[in-house]
Amino acid sequence: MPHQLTGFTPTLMQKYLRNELIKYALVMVLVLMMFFIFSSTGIYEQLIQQPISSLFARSSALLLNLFGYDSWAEDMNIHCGDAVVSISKGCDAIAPIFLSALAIALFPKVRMRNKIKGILFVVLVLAILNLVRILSLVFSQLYYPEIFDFLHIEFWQFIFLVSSGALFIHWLIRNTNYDSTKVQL
Amino acid sequence: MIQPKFSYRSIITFLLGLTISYFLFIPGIKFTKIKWLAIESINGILNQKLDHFFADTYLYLHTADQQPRQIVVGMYQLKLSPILLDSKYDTQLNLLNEKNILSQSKVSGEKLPVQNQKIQLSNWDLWLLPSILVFCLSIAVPILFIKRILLFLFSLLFLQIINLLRFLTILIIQINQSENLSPVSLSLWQNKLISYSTLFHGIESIYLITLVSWIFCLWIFLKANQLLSKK
Repeated sequence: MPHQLTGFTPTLMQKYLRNELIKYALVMVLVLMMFFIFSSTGIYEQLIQQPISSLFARSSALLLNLFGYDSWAEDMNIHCGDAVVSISKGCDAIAPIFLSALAIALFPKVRMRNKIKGILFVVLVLAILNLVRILSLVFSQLYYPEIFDFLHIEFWQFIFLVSSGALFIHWLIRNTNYDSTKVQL
Repeated sequence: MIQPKFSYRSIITFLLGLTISYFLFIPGIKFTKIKWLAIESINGILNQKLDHFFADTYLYLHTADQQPRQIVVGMYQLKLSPILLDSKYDTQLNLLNEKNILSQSKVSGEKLPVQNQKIQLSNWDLWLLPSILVFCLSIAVPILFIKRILLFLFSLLFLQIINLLRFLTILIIQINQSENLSPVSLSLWQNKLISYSTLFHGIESIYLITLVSWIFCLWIFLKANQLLSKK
């Protein structure tokens, strides 16, 4: 349809670029790529990855002690009996937490207060889930070392992906007016 | 306010379908002979299509199934001994300096000195896992069965293009890092692009890229359906 003032008919590409959800998706992909590039730098490792991994290691060791297991944290490693689990890059849940928080933060036309609440909720749930992941990996190394690789990769990566998506969609449904008759994209 | 077309019921149905199918198919393939059959087929296809992809480098993917293999480079028949790798890997990538092999004149009975580079690979992570994930995502979508199959085929094709690009970047990096092989000549920006692509080689990125690619394919598929039904 031609523009009211200019009489200019937008191309298909221009029409889509005006769509807020398309813009949202494009910005999401761009920021995610920038995040991955930033995550390869020394600054990221020193200031973000290592402190967060150490925090997870200390919290997991504390929980294991509460359960009666003699364990301690050393940098990013958790020692428990014969088991030593290292929280290396990719096992720190930073990427799924960042992804979900970014999806909420960038979503258009939602009040800032609702976004902040959503981000805090997602960070809390995924951080707790990561503690469960670390504990499950410690127990697996203690009792079922043969399933450690499967748990570490195929099980927990999938659970984190699905949980991040589910948490975002839950926030989306609660913070936007659901109307099945309207299709935006 | 934006109104996305979601409801708790459809989302829960989708997530349940996805989770059940994922935990049926992943262990059902990974811990059985199906995995090795699939990896051998993938390696067979790649060996057939990419063996001479690089001018002076011969490529051979050797499945770690403890079977010996024989390869032919020019007039020479080379024997590869059976291999057993760490459980994380399933394939040994052999890159041979073909130019060097062909320039030699072998005296019968003498062992041919071969300049090569060997790398351990996980074709499960590179090809099979993303394909199974795309299959589970596609069949969990609450649409007509035939549409699910079409969606799977479309997203699988798209994903294989991404996987192929990822695989080629691995090959180029390995060739250019090796002292035994003729390097692939690249411009400065191509070199930068390839070095940045390694950021997306981790398992977390494999899952994330598979999901993002599938969502993109789903959107195109639903959009195309919408346009077709209007006509």
